[in-house]
Amino acid sequence: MSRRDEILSQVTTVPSLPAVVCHLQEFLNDPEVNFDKLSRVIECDPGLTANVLQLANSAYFGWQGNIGTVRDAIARLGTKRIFQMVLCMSVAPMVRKPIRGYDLEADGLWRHSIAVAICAEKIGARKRLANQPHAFTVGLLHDLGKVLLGTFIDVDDQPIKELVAMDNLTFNEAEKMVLGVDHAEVGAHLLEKWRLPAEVVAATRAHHDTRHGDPRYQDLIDLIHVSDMICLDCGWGLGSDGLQYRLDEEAASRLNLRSGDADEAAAQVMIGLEELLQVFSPLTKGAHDGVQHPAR
Amino acid sequence: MSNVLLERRQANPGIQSVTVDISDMGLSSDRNQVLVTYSLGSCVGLALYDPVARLGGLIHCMLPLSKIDPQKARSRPCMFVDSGVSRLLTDLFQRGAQRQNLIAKLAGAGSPLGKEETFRIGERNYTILRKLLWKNSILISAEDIGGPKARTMYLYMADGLVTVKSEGQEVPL
Repeated sequence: MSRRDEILSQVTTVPSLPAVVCHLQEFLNDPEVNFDKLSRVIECDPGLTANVLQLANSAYFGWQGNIGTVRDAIARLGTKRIFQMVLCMSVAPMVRKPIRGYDLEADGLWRHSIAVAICAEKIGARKRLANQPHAFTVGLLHDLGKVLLGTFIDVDDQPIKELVAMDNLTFNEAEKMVLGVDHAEVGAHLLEKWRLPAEVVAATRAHHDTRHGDPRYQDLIDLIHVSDMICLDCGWGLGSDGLQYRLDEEAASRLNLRSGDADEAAAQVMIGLEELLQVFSPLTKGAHDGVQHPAR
Repeated sequence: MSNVLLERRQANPGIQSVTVDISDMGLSSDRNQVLVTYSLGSCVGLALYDPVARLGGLIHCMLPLSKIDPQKARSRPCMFVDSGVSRLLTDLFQRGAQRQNLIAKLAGAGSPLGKEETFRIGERNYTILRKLLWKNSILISAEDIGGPKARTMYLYMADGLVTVKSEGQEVPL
């Protein structure tokens, strides 16, 4: 078995997403979704219900006013937002752990993931990119491969660091050379296994290799790539891989981005990140210790 | 492996580290404290220390100019280099530091690989920081800037030593 196969086989050991996420996904593509039916799916889980309500009332996701029921949250924020919230809560326990191999402390990857999600959404809105409903989701999930690959990098970090230092390779190019696969591809495999939408998988796979992604999703790929670079630049989730990546200038130019756009997006991320992390801290503590947190 | 913090902790177990977050500032005159800021990518860290007043401060600024978000610059001045430097200097002078005594050291302003031309956040942060220090007649006594590595910066209040840690090595600046 090659190193690559060995690593990719680990994807099968990762637990599936909670059933409620899969359920919600089915509703996502239904234009005539029944709000009562959808809210019943969430309300089956009292912890999740409390968390959705907390998030729905947060400054970032929030509606002007008080959202008191799940049905109300769905009606006002939309099914996609609800899906994003549930997904956030589902991946949090995985992403909030310290990530070995990349030397990311607890919450390092979490902070980065939320930052990229916000950044992609803000740039998408700023550049009036038509219909990018998955920007937040991919931002949140794009580096999930690091959780799995980190264990392997921990063992093989010397050859990777040497390659990076000697040959001016990006960190993910070095991952590919030493391990046969990079964190973007490992992440894409995992998301595929979780049956997330094709564009989410494609944008995750190509987030460091924008030229070879599925051209149908080029906008989303570019959006995640530049958002990832901006957030690394700003220090959200900088690990041992540092800034050892390359910005694809063409992706930035396809999005018509200038330096001022990056600054404004970064400033907006800082604000959104504070708002969201505030809500998540107590929430995901529950996810770690198995305690359901009551509603406010 | 060079690790100044570990060595100093062995000599003085009472040493206490105080984290300065992204877009934040730390000030201290407590000899037992070390101000630390993590995750310097293209952000810049500036340490100013007055050895006579035994007083120092550290800021971690993310973006060059506050004009992009004046409201945020008021609530989080250290998010931006221009408003951050101004806040750090004001606070240090208020506490008794003297301009002519200040020792300035900076780190960060990194950049990704390749000829990055669109964002250049690190380069712009560095340019503004240099300009502001020059305008304030403060000389830069040491710096560790540029390149793709992530840095952690320390300011030891016992003697004003500044160190930078990257790739596991903590080295005096």
